[in-house]
Amino acid sequence: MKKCQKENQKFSYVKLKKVSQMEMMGMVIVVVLLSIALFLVISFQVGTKPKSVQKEYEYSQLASNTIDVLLKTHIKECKLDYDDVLRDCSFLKKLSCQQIDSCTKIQQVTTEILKKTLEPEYKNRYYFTAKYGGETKIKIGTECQANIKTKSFPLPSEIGTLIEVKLDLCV
Amino acid sequence: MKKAQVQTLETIGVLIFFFVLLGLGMVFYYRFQAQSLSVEEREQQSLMAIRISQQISSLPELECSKYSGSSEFACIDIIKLEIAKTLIKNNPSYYSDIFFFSNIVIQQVYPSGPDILLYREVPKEYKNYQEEDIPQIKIPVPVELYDPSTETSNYGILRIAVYT
Repeated sequence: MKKCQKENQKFSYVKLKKVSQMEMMGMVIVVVLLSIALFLVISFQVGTKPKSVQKEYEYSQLASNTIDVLLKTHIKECKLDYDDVLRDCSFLKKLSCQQIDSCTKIQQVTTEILKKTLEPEYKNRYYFTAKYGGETKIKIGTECQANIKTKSFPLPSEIGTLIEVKLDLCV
Repeated sequence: MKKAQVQTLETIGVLIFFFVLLGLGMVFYYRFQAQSLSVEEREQQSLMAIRISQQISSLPELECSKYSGSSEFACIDIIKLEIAKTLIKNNPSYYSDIFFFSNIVIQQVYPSGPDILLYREVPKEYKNYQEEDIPQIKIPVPVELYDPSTETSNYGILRIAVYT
């Protein structure tokens, strides 16, 4: 009888030990699962960079307005607006702006304007081109490698063809 | 009795552990919320700067009227600008409702010309600070500076800085 009781006690002790071990394992699993879930949530939140409304607006309106305003700018030496001087540079080549040809003058004016407006913030991370008939007439800045905000403006010429004025901002 | 004590201790241990986890979770959540609130605040201030830039472009005191009276976006009449400067200076309460705490300057880029300060209202706490030391959100907007007397346009930049 005593031997039986001793064996029963031993058995219940072993059983208790195993049960507490199982409970501890269960707790460890719960903690591990919680940690993984927390890690995933934090990494997801940190990973996704929220888009700045200001930057998006700045990029889109800067490229767009720069070309719009540039084309309407009056060049005193040529007594014409920028778009007319650009047309002359593209195919007429008759204009002389105080002994400077239209292409050189356009290049000078565009460089001066872009230097004062885009250079402070974008350094050399912009690319301005004016193309006519597949040929690049004006080229300022460095071509973007990736992530471009671009604005293209087709300028009609008198003979029905188009001059493509384009500004790429490397963001 | 001992078994019961062990089980009670076990329960207490689990509860302590649970509350520690809960406390940690709440700390993380609070920090995360505080960060997203400051981001949200910044976004709202950026939206205000954008709103001001669009309002200036369409202010009747400044907008251009060309050809048959149709107005152009991002165009400022330089003759109206001189009068608008005085008008804004003489009616600070009216314009502070539109422009809030901000600094609005028109810079003539081509041909080069002097900068024109249109509006400036600094928050009380920054009254004695230098301009560069005041926290602000800046938005540059290329604008056409139209002279109706010669019917020509110059290249300008509307520099808006909203104080945060």
